Amino acid sequence: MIRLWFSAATLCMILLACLATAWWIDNVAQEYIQLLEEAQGLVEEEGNWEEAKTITDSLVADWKSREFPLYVLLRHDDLDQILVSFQSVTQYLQEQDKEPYTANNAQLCTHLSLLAEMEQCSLKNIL
Amino acid sequence: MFTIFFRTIILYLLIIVAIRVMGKRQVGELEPSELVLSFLIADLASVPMQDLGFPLHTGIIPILTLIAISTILSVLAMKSLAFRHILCGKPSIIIRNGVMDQKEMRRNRLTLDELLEELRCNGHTDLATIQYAILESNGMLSVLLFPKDQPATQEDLAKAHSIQLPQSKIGLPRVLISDGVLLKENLADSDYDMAWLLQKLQEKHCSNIQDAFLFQVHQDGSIYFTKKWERSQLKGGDTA
Repeated sequence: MIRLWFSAATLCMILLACLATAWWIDNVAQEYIQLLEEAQGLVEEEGNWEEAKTITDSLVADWKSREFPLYVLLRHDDLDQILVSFQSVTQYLQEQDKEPYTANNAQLCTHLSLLAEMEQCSLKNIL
Repeated sequence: MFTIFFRTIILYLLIIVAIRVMGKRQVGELEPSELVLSFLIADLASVPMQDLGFPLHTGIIPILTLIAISTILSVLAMKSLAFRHILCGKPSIIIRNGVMDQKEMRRNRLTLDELLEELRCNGHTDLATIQYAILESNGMLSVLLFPKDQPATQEDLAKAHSIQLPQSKIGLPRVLISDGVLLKENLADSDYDMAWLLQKLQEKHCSNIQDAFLFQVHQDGSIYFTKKWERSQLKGGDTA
């Protein structure tokens, strides 16, 4: 019976780890998306490129500080793609080129949203 | 991670069903669930090994999940006969009193040629001598001959010739020295001591334990001894 309980406990632990990861990724992604949209709003409504760049740069630094858990938990290709998107966005912010910036920023938000969605426990993901 | 976790469970159950549907003959010597486990674990382990784009847990989580499910299934199978029949299947009687059960053969998708081949492999060519042939859940065919066709045992011969059989003294042989190493537990469990062992070694012209390759003692006190080969003998491939 010990083997049975031990195995059941292992399954429960894996399930809990899955839940925790999904919750964490979702929180991180939502936080990033919110700040990226805020930066985009500053550019579109006030033309405040400096503040938008400060917010985005801090997000890039924050993303890099979280690289270890992210690369341990998620597919590396998806994370590399997000990093590339971050670099494009910061480049267009520096050049103060509005149209490509908003397009790339929206794409980055979508990537982050998809990354979080991929980890959620949904029938669509499982099947 | 959810995707991996649930996909692993679904695929595992799916492959068990698939193997069960395929029938016993495809399974070989493993139980269906063990076969699935061995297939999947080997394959899953190779994915994160080969593709560095996948994190390590994409291999670890499915394997841990499989082992946990497999353990749960095996414990449940041990506890419940009905569950064991679902998981492992039931043995099928293919030949009963010398008559082939064609319905069972069809149910197990066992052709006549395959049955005859299996019987020949077991050393049986005459179907009329077979009382029972049972296709076990691990895919092996067990054959039981009619009593009159079974080989005579020592007891049968003794009865036929009215001879009293001597009491057998042969039991499980005990290894006391294995590859130059004294197995102290085995020596302590036996009726012999170190002094007896060393004396026997000396009788076999072996000065110490390290020079013995195998020293086995039978219940009747008879011993089997092999000396370790010299390094030169091992290099030269001398089997003398």
